Amino acid sequence: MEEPIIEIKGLTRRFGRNTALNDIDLTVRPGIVMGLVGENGAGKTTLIKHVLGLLCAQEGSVRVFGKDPVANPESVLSQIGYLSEEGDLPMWMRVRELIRYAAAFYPTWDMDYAQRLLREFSLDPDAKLSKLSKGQRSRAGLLVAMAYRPQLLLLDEPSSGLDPIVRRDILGAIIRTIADDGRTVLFSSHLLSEVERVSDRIAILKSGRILLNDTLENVKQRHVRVTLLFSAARESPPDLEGSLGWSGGKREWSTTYFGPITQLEAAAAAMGARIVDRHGLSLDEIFVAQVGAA
Amino acid sequence: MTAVRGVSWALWQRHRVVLLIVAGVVGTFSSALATNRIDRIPAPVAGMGLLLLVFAYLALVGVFIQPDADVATGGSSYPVHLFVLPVRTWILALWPMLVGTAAVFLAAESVLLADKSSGTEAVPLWWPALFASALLAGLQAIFWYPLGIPYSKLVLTFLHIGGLAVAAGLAVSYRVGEGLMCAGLLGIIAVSAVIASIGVSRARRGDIRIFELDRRPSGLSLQAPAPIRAYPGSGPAQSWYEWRLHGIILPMMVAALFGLFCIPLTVKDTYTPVTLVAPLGGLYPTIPTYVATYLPLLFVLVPFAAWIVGCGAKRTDVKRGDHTFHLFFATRPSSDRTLAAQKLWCAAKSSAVAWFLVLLGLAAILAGARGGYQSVGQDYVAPYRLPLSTVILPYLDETTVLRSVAILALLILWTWRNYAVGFWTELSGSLWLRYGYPIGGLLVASGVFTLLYWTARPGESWLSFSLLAGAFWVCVLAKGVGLLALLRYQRGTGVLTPRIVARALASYAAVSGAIILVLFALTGIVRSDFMSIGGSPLVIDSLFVGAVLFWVPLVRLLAAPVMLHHNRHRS
Repeated sequence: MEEPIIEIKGLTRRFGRNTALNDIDLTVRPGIVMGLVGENGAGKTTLIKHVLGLLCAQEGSVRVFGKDPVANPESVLSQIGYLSEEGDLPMWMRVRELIRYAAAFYPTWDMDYAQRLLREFSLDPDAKLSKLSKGQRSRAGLLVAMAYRPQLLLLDEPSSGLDPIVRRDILGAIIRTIADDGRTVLFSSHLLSEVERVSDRIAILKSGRILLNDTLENVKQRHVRVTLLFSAARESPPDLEGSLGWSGGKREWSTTYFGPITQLEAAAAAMGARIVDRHGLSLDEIFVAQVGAA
Repeated sequence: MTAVRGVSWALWQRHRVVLLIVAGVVGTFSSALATNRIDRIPAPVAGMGLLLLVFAYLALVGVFIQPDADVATGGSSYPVHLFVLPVRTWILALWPMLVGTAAVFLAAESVLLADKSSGTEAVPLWWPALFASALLAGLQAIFWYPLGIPYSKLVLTFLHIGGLAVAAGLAVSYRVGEGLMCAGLLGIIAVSAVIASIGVSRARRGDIRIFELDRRPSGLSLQAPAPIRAYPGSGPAQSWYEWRLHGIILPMMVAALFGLFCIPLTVKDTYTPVTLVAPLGGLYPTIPTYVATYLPLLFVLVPFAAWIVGCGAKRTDVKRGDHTFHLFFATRPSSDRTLAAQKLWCAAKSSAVAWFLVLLGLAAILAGARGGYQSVGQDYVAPYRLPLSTVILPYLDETTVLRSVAILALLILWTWRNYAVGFWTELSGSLWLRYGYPIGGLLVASGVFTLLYWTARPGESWLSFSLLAGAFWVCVLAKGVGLLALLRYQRGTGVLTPRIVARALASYAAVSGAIILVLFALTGIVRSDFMSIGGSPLVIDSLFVGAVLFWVPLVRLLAAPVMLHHNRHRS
C-alpha cells in the first residue's frame, strides 16, 4: 500500500481550557480528494494548521509526506499548495510580483502554466492585489497555489463568500488537480454541495472530534431517511440503534438512520413496525443529522 | 452626550491597562520631583525617569492615534470599526483628539508644576505641555488623513516632529515670549483638528484615492502581458520581499531627516571654526554653526531611527489580535533560519543604504553650503563664500580619512545592531515580551543605579570607573548565561545547530575584537583623560573591553530564529 500523504494519530490540541482537537486520527492516501466538513469552531482550520506545521502537536503526531511538518517546513511546504478563506496575500504586491516571488520557492513551478492560469482567470499582472476584488484575489491565491503542481492541495474554506463563478474556478482547479497525475486534495468547506461534487472521502468534525470518516459512497449508502408505521400509537420515539433523531408522533415516526440497512429492517420488525417510506439523503442532510445528533 | 460616552468607553476599554500604567509613571515621577529638586536626583536615575516619561508619552500617542492600519498605508489609519457608530463624524475625530491633547497636557503640566514646586527656577510652565499636545494633535491629523501616498505618513511624521522641535528650539534661542509660543502651538492644534476632521470624514465615506506611479486605465490590456521571470532562487526572492516590506523604511526616514536638516541651511547663519583639525598656515576651517552643532546629532539619530524601525515602526509580519505570522509568510517553504537570516541581511542592507544616503547628503552639504577660514587668533580671514568642500578637504590628511572611515564603519555597525536587536521580541509574537523587555530593562537599570546611589558611602562618588567596568563584565557574564538558557530552550527544535552556534561565536569574537582594536586606536585621548581623573589604565581598558563585549549582540541575534520558530510553529 502506498505511503499516506497525511497521517495524523491521536492529535489533541488545547487552547487554554478549550479543546480544539480531541484525539484525532486521520489518514489521507495519495490521489484522493478529502472533504473536511464541520460547524464553525469544529476544529477544521486548527487541523489544517497542524498539517501545515503552523501548530505543534501537543499530543499525538502529524506526518505529512512521512515527515514532521514542524521540523521540516522546507520540504513539506514545498509540496503543498495552500489557499485559505482569509486569503492573507500581501496586498502591497502586484500580481506579477506575487508570481515572480512565489515561483522562486518551488522547483516544480511551471511558468507557462502560471501564464495560462493568469489568462484563464482574467488577472491583470500589473494590478495590485489590494485593488482586486475578493474573487480576483482568491483566483490569484489559487494561481500561486497550483502553478507548481503540488502533490497536496490544501484548501481551507476557499470559496466562502465568493460568487458562483469563482467557486466554479476553485472546483475546476480541484478537478484538474485530480486529473493531473492523481494528486491529493484536502479541502474544508461549508458548501456541502461542492464537497459532495468532488470528494472521494469526507470527514465530519464536531467539537474537535471526527464523527465520521468514510468514502462518500459509503456515507451516502449508510444514511437513509425512513418512516416507520407502528401497529399502535406511541408516546415517545422508539429506541433504535443508529437513529440520528426522530420526528413524528402517534403511529408514524420518521428518523435519519445511519448503519446497515439490513439491521434497520430487522430492528423495525422486532419493534412491530414496518418501513413505509425510505429515501437517500444529500450530504447537506447527512451533515445536519450527524452534527445535530452528536 | 451618549455618542461621546460611547466613543470614550471604546477608547477606555481598549487601552485601560496602558492608560493606568502611564498614569502610574507620571504620578510617581511628579511625586519624586515635588519632593526633590531635579538637580538633586542622581543624573542616571533622573535620566532613566525621563526616559520612562518619554515611553509614557509614546504610549499616549499610540493610544490616541489608535492606528488600525500599517504606517505605510496611503489611506487613513483611523479605526474602521468606529465608522459604523451612529455618531457624527466631527465627534469621531474631535473627541479622541480633545481627550488625547487634554490628557497629554495634564500629564506634562503635572510634571512641570511638581518641578516648579520643588524650587527649580526658570521652568516654563505652559508651552512645553502645549508642545506635547500639539505634537500629538499633528500626528493624529497625519495618521487619520487619507493622504493617498504610501509611506507619506512616515515622512510627514518625521517632518512634523523635527519641524516642531526645530521651531521650538529657535523660539527659545530667540527668546520668543511664552504667550506667543502658546498661541502658535494652539494654532497648530486647531489646524490639526480641522485636518483630522476632514480626513476622518473622507475616510468614512470612502473618498480615498491612492496615488500610484503607473495610472493605467483600468481593464485588461489587449496586448499580451510581458513575460514573467522568477527570481533566481528563494534567497533573492525573500530578500526582495523583506526589502519591500521593511528595508525601505529606514532609508526613507533618513532621507526625510536629512531633507529636514538641510532646510535651515538656506538661512543666514553664524560660523564656527573646526578646531578638531590641525591649523594650516595658522588658519582653521570654519563651517556654519548650524552644521557644526546639529550634524553630529544627525549621525546619532540614524542608529536611533534604526532602533525604532527594528522595534516595529514598519509594516509588520504578525497579525493584529493573536500576533501569529501572516499565513502567507508562515507558509513559505523556507526554514526558520533562512527567514530570520533574510531579516538580518535586510537590516544590514537597509543600514548601508541609509548611510549611503547620509554620505550623499553630506556631499551635497559640502558642495552647497559655504564656509571660510579663521586665524588661530580668532581674526576673520576670508569671506564665507567658499564651498565647504574647498574649505575642508585640504585639512583631511590620511589619518583623518582613516579615522573617519573607521567611525563610519562603527556607525553603520551600530545602526545594524540597533535595527536587529529588537527582532527577537518582535518575531516572538508575544506582546509582553515586546513591550516588557525594553521597559523591564529600563526599570532594572534604574533600580540598580538608585541602589548604588543610596548605598554609596558619604563623601565617595557613587559611580566609579571600576564599578562601571565591573557592571559591564557582569552583563557579559549574564550574556553567557543567556546563551546557555537559549540553547537549552531551543533544544529539540533544530534551529541552532552546534555548527551555527560555533559560527556565531567566531563571528562575535571577530567583530568584538575588530571593534576593540578600532576603539583603542581611536580613543587614546579619551582613555588618557579618564586616567587623569582617577582611573587606572587596567580598569579603563577593562571598561572599554567589557563595554564592547556587552554592546555587540550575540544572544539576541541567535534568539531571532528561535523566536521565529516559536511563533511560526506554536505549541
